Amino acid sequence: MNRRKFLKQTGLATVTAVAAPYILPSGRLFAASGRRAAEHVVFVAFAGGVRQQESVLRRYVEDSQGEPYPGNIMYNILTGDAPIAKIVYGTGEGGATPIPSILSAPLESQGTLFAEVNAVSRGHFLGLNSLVQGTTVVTQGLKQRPINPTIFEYLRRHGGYKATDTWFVGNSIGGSLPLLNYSDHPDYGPQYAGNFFAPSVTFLGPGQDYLKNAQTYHPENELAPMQQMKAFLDQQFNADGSGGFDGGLNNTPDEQEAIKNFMKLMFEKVDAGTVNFPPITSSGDAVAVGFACEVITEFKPAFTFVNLSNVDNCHSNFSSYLSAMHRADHAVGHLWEHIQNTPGMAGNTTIILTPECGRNLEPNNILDENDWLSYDHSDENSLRIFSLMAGPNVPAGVQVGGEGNPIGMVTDSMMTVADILGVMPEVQAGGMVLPGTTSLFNHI
Amino acid sequence: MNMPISKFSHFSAAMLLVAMMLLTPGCRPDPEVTFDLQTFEVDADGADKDRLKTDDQWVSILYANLFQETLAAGDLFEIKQCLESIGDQKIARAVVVSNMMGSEDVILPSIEEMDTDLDAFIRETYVRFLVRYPSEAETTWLANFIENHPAMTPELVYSSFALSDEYLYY
Repeated sequence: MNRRKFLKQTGLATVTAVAAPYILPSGRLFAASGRRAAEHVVFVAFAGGVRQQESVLRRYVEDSQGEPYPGNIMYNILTGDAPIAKIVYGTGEGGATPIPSILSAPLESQGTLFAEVNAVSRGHFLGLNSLVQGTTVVTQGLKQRPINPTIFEYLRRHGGYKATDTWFVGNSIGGSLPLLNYSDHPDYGPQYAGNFFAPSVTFLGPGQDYLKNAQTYHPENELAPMQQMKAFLDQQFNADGSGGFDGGLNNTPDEQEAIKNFMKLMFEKVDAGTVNFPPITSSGDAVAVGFACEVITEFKPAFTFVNLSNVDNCHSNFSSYLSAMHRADHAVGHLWEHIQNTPGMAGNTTIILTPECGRNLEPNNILDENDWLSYDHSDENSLRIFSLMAGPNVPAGVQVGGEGNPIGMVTDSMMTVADILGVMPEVQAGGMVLPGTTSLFNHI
Repeated sequence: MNMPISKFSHFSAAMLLVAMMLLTPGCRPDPEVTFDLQTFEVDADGADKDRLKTDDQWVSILYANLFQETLAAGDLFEIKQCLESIGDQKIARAVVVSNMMGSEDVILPSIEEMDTDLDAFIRETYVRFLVRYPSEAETTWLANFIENHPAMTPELVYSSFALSDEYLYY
């Protein structure tokens, strides 16, 4: 080999070695341009409509019912003492026994609390849309996919994440929740979607009858030829110029099999009673969190979105609302503890909690069993929420803003995910988020 | 000369009765109705299938194809819930089909029936699932494929068809 040829080949090899690591599964040549503060983000939509008064303001029944008993009933998340009387949110007779705390130190002391944040919607669906899109389009109705790209799509398109790197775990299929894992935006869409499960349906409800007994095919003798035959049929159909969207989310064949195997495992775990549920599983939120823990164990996603919403029973039962809020806190404590015990996620995961909307200042006239008034969500108080984040590079024990001093918007949480996982420049450049939306880190 | 009153009354009543009989709609003969249905030709062309089936349609037709009976409304509702609860519909449908295949009530030809007349099996499968006859090339390819893959059973063939893109459209 002469010197010229040697130099040419060496140069080519060097260029290839440098460029190859940046050719991502999505086909992008280079990785996202933003910084990456953690490898994983778990985003809890602490949703259903949470009043500031009973959450970050820790006033228990003082504001709402005129009873002189403030206190903190979310002690896995927030610091502060529990109420000393009128306990109805726990377990046992009348809910008189509070659920013990799971975390030795509340998330507030491990991270940063944004105590007063502006929501952009008084309703659940638009509120949830603001959490996943970073904006809200007022013309968007129920049963309609987001108009602008979701965080799942930004991450997959610009961050090169594969489908099983991004998950949405819903606590139901109500309220058009299953539509929030990707948008109708022509430049994004299902090929960049996050995977979705509503485990209470998939694994506990109708899924027991219509999904559980799916056959397990031999991967080489049965599954492979079946897939080959389907590929032939699809080729014939598409050659006709027909066809179109097949409902897939661009999971690779390996990912599809991994998801099917995960489903099989979940049905086995349900039968064996070994799903990683929180100690107290008396709410749908707890069920969602239990299966979210299983998703985290199995897939170690870069981004997991978990939706909670049982507090919405506040429309007609204030005592149940308090109980649901206490259980949501319990579930979050369990989730964070599980993350810290999961190799690959521990110490490398940021958790973000944000309600999608608040709840009214004034009650409606519905009384519960304790003669306490109920609350809807339609007035200005419904636009008051909080955010909290903890994890690597998040200042611990810091509070930003407070009552009368709102700092940040609900849409900032989505941008913070983009920031942590390295796609914030691309999201900002797209210009499809609410003006002023920025990373929560920029408020600290 | 005047007609006696009683004779006049009988005559008038008789005429009235005849008039009523003629005017009463219920006594008219049924019109001859011809239902002018266009004949539908089952052919080998899938190109005109451009309408995506709804979940209702896909599930109902799948059930009818596999069980040869109508799916109850309650079952349809719950299967649709299952589909909704899984983000990737390709996976959701594969699991639903596979779950149905596990039922002892599913109506499948035996392997012997399939092997006895492979061309007929392929033709019937196309008509059952894709509502068309296979082209000669399709028949040849599938027959060769099944012959070369001994593990291919009617269940696996049916599953492939039920999960094909063409089956999503009508």
